[in-house]
Amino acid sequence: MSESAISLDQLELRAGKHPLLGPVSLEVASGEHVLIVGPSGSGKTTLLRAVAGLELPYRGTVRLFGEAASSPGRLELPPARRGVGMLFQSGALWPHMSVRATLAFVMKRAGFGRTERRRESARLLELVELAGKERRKPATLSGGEAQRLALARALAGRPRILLLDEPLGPLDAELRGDLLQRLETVQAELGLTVLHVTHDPDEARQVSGRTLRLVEGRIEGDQRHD
Amino acid sequence: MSRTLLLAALACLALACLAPIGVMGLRLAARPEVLPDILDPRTLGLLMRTLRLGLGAAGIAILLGAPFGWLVSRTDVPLASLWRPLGLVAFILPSLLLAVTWTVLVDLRGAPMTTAVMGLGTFPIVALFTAKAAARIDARREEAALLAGGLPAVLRMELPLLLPAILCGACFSFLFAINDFAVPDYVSSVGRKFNVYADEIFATWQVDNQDARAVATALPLIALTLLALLPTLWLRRRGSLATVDSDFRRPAPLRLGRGRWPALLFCLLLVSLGAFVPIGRLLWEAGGGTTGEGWSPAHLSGAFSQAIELTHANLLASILYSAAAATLAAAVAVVLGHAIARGRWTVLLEPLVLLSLAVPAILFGIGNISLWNHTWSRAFYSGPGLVIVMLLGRYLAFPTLIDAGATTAIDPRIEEAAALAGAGPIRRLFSIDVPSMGPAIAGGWVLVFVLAMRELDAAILVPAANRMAMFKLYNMVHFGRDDFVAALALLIVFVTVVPGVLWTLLLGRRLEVMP
Amino acid sequence: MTCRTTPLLPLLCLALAACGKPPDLVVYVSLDQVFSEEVIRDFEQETGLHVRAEYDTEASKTVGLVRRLIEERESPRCDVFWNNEVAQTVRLAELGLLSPYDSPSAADIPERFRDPQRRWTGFAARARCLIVNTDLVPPEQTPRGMDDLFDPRWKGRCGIARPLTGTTLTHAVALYDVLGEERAEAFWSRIAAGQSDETPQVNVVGSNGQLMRLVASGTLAFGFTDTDDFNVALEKGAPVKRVFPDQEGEDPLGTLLIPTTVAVLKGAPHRPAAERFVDWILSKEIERRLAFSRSAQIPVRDDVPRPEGVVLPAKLMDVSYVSIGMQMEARTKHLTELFLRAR
Repeated sequence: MSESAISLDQLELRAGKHPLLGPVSLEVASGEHVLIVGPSGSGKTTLLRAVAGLELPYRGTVRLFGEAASSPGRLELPPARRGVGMLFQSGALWPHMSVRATLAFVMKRAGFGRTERRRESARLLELVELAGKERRKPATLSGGEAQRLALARALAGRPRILLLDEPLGPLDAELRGDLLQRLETVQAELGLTVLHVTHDPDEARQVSGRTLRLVEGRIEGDQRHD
Repeated sequence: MSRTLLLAALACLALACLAPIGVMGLRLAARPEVLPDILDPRTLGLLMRTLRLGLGAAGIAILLGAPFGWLVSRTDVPLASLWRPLGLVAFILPSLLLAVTWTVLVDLRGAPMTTAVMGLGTFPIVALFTAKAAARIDARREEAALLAGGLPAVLRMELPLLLPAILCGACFSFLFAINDFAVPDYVSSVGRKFNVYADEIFATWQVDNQDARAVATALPLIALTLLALLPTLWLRRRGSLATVDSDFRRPAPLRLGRGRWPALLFCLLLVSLGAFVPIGRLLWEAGGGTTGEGWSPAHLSGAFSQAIELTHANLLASILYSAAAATLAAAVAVVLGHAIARGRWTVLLEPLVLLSLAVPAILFGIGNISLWNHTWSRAFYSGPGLVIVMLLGRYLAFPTLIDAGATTAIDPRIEEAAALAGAGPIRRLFSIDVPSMGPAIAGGWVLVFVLAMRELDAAILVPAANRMAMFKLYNMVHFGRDDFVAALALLIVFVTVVPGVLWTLLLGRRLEVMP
Repeated sequence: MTCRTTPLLPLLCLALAACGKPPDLVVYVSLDQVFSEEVIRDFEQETGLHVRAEYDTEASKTVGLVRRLIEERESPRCDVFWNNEVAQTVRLAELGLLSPYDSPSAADIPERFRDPQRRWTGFAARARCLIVNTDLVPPEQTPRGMDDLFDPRWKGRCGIARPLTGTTLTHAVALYDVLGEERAEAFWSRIAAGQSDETPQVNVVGSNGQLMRLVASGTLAFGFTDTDDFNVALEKGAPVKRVFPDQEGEDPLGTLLIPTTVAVLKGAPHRPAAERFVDWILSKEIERRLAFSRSAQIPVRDDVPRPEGVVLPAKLMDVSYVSIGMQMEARTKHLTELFLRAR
């Protein structure tokens, strides 16, 4: 059996005394696209943030590609060294940076050289169809463009794991289909492991792979479909 | 906005802020021929030096205040919630007290010491603005940077977002530094003399029978101050200082890892420089440390008893005048701030509000005398009313800008929804806007209270302001009774911080002071 | 709080603040508040009159109150000006702000301390003196006069207040009057020129009080101040002694005596009370009290009792206060240009 990309063991998160997630145990294989669904407040975003290293476990552990990433109260791997890209709910773009500056910012930190940055940037912009809009700032982009830039940013550091937090939330039906298709293409092309949170049943139906259902912080269902 | 309320607020602005300045302007208008005389090479030299002092102080304030503000508001530096209020003490302490303390302890004089003291005294403004701006960066934006490159990437991403607030704070630091003449004078009492332009204004008022020239002398400093405030206006208007999104998510403290301990040392050092050492020195003096008998708790309590016995009336007057001015300013500022944020007259109203900040205190004080010393207004002129109006005029700009910032952060659709539900403009202001502006209104109130408590420059000219504690303190400092004078200084500092501390302790909310 | 009552709050504050008992007499006092407050309180107790006293600050010596009197000339509210020196009072007289009053209590005050037109009267004087730190200055090296400021031995260790306000300004103008233009200009220019040196020969400080503290604390060895400031240092137990300058040699310059002055304002709203106050304060008893007070004012009448040490210098500088007052404005302008420079 191939090594799990993401391995959660009895993972539990709390805000003070209030439980946020878990205990949850989960194995996600490399290259797998896992959809996480469930009602609001069920812990979907918390789970992604725990994988990204943005939240500390109260109990249990997170392992990424076999390496210990988080243990109770402790980050074994800081977020920037987990090989994780994240598309945040509502984009969370940096308002003062242009499209090009946003991507360059991430790539520089991922250690890309100047030439590589230029090439990779052009490729990503082509992929998300933002070529020609390099100088634009987030405030001047449409909702769909902004979300595609957020996707490009998540991919710019060449992550091995892509975390999508309601990526299609603010988009209309046509744009959703378009972006979803793009996501699948990218995933296949790069062999990414994807955790994809949504509360939208339509979105869930359009994605093939595996679906987890979270209710009150626990996994209530785990099924594979094509 | 209700027209009646707006007119009432504008009337207050005109009466308290603009009329005293207008009166002085009229004196200059009567003799415009004095204008070309004001910038001879000598005064130009003083002006350039003052400019350098202001820039130096603002630079130090940035170097100290920006990292301090960021560390205490956004990171897990140990005891952050303790450093945050203690960091403000350096600003609350009258800058002359800082100068007195540090010239005793450090053998440095002249320009470097003046710049250092003014920078140290004003770094809390930059820190406060940085802290507020840092707390307004959406958590997810920060996390995206954290994923990209850890803490250095977060810093790199946040710096441009914090820069407007840092610069805005630095503008105020510059403003305070260029208008101070007591600190340069005191610090350079031994060694190379460090004269500044504010000295020139003061001296001109003393000697010149022709007021027009004295008013004209103040013009370059007014221009310099307004120039420093213009970037603030510009940044504010661009919305650079306001909250960015409606679905804002508060960021969690950033983990500094091994950097926590150097960060802790930095905070401790800064709070020591600005608060512990000066306050410690005052406590030492109050306890008789400078006398032959040496420090003792009995001496300390004796000094406090004596200070209270001799000055309780002055302290009470200070508290009453400052509280009344702060309350009046808070009420007027809500209306003016709303008008600036939402109205069509922003471009006109904003500079008018700022004008009184730019005018030297002595000119403002004399303007008030000219305006109010008439037979029909004698009771008002001699009474506390004029002190309150003068303090209101001097400091109305601060709460107005803070409230304008807070109004900008309120989604206009909230007001529109209330309007559709049938709420009139006054109801909307007081039932919809004011409740969500609580920390900003309280912040403006506290700021005016603090500034009014330490006001001296204009107070020396207004009759009833003579009764204020700060006035008494300065006269006692001259007399040199170190123990109870130090006790009085501590009492003033204590009274000054009480409202802010009470607000934070009782309501558990932070004050909002960002314009 | 309802939205209707909120706007009323500030008005309430103002209304509360406007309350207060109207005074029977308004006195502007530029004598140090800590000294004069007790005297005013005694007057209130003895006469039952309610006095409103308004004080100057050390930092703004004379600018605050004199400026205010000038600004208030159209509608005077002050009855009596009790000034800690004489030149600014003469200036106010020349501006036509003072009203003549020949107080019977002043009959035995020497004529040189009284305005010929009786617009002001001088009494309870201070003298310009050298305050010397006895730990730093051996007895045989004790400075004797103003020229000792330029002794190379004291480079950077002596001082004087900036001659732009208060009694140092009066001192500066007096020197022009008695030494003549050339010598006085040489003296002040030399001090001013040194200000750009890293270690100036003579340190120029903010005020006489500050100079006193610098000498008392041992930062400076000696400097010019007033006798009342010297007395404060002495009372605090500082190692200091007083030297009346320029008393020795052939035809010495003498020590400048600066009387406090009292004057009734033209158009004083409470004229009878003002005259009563002037009579009271010019009495021998008050001059005696001021001599025994912490400010140790020197009585100008020979027969007023005084403590040991509160004495008139043997040789007084021969000045005309009226002449000093008349020159004040032009000289101050010149001194400002001399001392306020970016160096």
